[in-house]
Amino acid sequence: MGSFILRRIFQTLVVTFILSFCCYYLLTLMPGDPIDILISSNPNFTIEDAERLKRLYGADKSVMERYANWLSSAVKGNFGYSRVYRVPVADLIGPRLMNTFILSMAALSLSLSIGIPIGVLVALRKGSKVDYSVNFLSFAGISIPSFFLGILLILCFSVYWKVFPAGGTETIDANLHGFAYVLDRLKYLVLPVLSLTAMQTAYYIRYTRSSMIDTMHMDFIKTARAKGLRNSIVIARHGLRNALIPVVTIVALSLSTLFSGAVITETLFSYQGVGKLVFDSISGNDFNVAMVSFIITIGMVLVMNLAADILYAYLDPRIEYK
Amino acid sequence: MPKKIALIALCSALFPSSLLFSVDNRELKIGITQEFENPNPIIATMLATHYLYGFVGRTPNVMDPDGNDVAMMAVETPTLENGLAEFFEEDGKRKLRAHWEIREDAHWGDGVPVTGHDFKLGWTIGMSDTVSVGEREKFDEIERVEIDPENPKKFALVYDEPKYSYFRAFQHYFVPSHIEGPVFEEFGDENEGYDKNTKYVTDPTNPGLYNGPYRIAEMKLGSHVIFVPNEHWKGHKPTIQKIILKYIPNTATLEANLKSGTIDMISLIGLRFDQALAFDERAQKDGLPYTVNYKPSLVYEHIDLQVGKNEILKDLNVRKALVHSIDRDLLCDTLFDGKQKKAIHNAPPMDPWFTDDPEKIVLYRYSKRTARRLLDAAGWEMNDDGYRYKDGKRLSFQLMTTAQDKTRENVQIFLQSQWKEVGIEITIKNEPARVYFGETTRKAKYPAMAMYAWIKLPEHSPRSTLHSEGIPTEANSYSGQNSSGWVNKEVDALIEALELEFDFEKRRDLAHQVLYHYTNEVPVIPLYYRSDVSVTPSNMEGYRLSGSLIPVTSWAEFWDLKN
Repeated sequence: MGSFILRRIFQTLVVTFILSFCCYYLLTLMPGDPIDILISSNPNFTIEDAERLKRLYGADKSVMERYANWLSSAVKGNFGYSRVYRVPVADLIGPRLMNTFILSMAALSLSLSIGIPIGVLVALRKGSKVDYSVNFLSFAGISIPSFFLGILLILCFSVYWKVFPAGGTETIDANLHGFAYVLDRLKYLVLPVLSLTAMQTAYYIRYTRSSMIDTMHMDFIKTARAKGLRNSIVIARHGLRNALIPVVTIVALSLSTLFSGAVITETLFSYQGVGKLVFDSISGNDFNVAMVSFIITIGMVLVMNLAADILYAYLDPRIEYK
Repeated sequence: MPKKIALIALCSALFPSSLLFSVDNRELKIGITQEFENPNPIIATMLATHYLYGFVGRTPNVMDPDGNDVAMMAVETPTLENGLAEFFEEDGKRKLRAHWEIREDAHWGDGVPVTGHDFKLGWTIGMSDTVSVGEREKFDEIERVEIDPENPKKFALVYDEPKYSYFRAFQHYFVPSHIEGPVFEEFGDENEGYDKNTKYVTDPTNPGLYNGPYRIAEMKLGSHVIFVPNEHWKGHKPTIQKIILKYIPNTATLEANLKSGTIDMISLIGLRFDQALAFDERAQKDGLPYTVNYKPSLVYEHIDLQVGKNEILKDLNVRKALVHSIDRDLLCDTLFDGKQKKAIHNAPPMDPWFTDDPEKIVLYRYSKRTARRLLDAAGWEMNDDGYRYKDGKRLSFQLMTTAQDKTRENVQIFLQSQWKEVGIEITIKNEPARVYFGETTRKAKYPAMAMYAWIKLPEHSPRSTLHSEGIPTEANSYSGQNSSGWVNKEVDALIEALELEFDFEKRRDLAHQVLYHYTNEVPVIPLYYRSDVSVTPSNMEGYRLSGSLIPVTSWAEFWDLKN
């Protein structure tokens, strides 16, 4: 197992390096860099201005040279400077990354804690009224676009009932500490988390139900029952544990996309996360911010896949790594 | 019992009474949909940053909402008429010197007086090759800054190639030399060294960075900025005690944020025009306590015609027929409720160069009959399928604009149906703003028509948009904005002459001659002049939209929320 993990970490680093160059190169192919936009939006922008800024930004150098400069700084921990927001990238991304992490993890935890038990329940009562009702609600959850649900939540809970704030991350200028601060953050998390959870929960219910139904028809379940094991042990230890393997894959993939997956929710609820920043940095050719976003996303995908592989071995002892 | 108390405590924390909002002078929360950068005025490029800087910084003079140039930090605006500006000879060259004096009571937020050294530092930073300043023309045109050794409040700007706009110093900013001077000295030599280390980035709440009625008390990029009154501001005392500028990226939720009390007003960088109209109607119907403010602006929405490359559009009769066949009054009434007005050329009514005198410019009334006659004369004959043909080729144009801009898409559909009535086919192709402005319009790659807007200051020379040297080519790195490819040597000469004309009447006359050629030759179809729009609480007084590039926040100290 140790050598497997080491090998995968090495692969991760190589893949990250190759993909970082691909991303950098693709960014340079996009039409309309920040200087182009300045030229087209400002009638006073001259040829001299364009050339001066290209020299200053290093845009007059070859792609390889620019990439090498970026890489040498990045490996030293210097991720550069955002040319759109005019602040260091680390200052810009750091706090937002944490906010997105909190939002996404809260939504994921809630979705899993609701989705898996309900998925198991309806799998065990396949064809019952409960099964049909949950199926109906699941399809509704999957079908309703998150932005629509978000607006509905804002209208109900913020405009009409004034229960939760319509947007933001925390109460501005409140100077709260300790428990009061946590409660304040929770208040701003409720609606975006609900918005994200609705769809995720529905997916987990569907995946768990399907996987659990398949597993409960396997021979080893019949053997376990024949041995006289209690039903709860058969379900939890033999059924659920095996049924969770495909769910783990889905969860790993969900985690890897949490960085950019909450763009719509963050935008709707003015939540100070990293999703919209990533989107804007790519649209606005803010190279340094976009590259850090890519690296984090690539890293998350690779690390989460590694974590999923390790979890498979834990869930199913038949799987081993050599 | 303890459970009940815990529940009540939780509810109180989650649902505080502050959510039951009221708006008074204690606090005003403004929603804005564009993110802001660090507030260094010399390197800022975003509109949102200039909006926020208006609360905290003041320029030597400013253009007020009526279009007049008025002194702000300066005692008086220097002009040739009041004798504070003068021509002089130096090295055989005719130069101009403008004498400025800063108000005696002008101070930075830490109590240090604002002086000519602060102006000079701003100009020096703007001229530096290592600082990422965008357009440098405003710095370049000043040859040097001379500070009075006796009184640093007095300084003179020397122009070696003076232009008539020398007295407009509202695009120049003071930078506190006692704070930023050492930073520029230390990092000014390295590429973007100053950009990264300016105190506006590293210490944005330092009161000494701001000389306006407010200072920044808290700033969180991507979230909000809090402004509180600047204790050292000696002008009109601000009445609102705290202003919060809150970033709300989604325009669709602005109204919900307003109604829920998360914000109290929507800045002019907020609602789209159609959203504002819809909200205005709802607010009036439901008696909501908000006022929707409209102000005709200097933004000119138009369609560039590819007269340089498109063979059909080279025919003047076709271009004139295109204008005659669209009812722009109906367009403005239908889509904008009459709150945005029909454009007749590129100088909006707020510009002193505006004229609607039919003896000076060519006006086009809506007339399908005239349009049909012009197209017949051009050889385009109507066919049974409802379109015109010439030599077997259909009269068809591609109309391009920015994708996902609902207002422009509605205008496209309106125009398409109007042109269809005279036998012209319009195909629509829209692109994301980044591609459209970064490639298509910048390199004049559109085949026939490109719809977009220009914003300019009053009396701004149209050199880049109308002079033939402004035609974007590979040779000039596509830096010109005459994307129509229109060439008129007489217009070139008129533009060159008006830039050097210091007499207002004569300059206006030259501008009117340019407008005559512009309207007569129709390289561009004028559509409408846009209006600025914002939403304020009904009890707010002293708020006036500027309609220009000058941020409305330049008069924030006069805003008053009456009880």
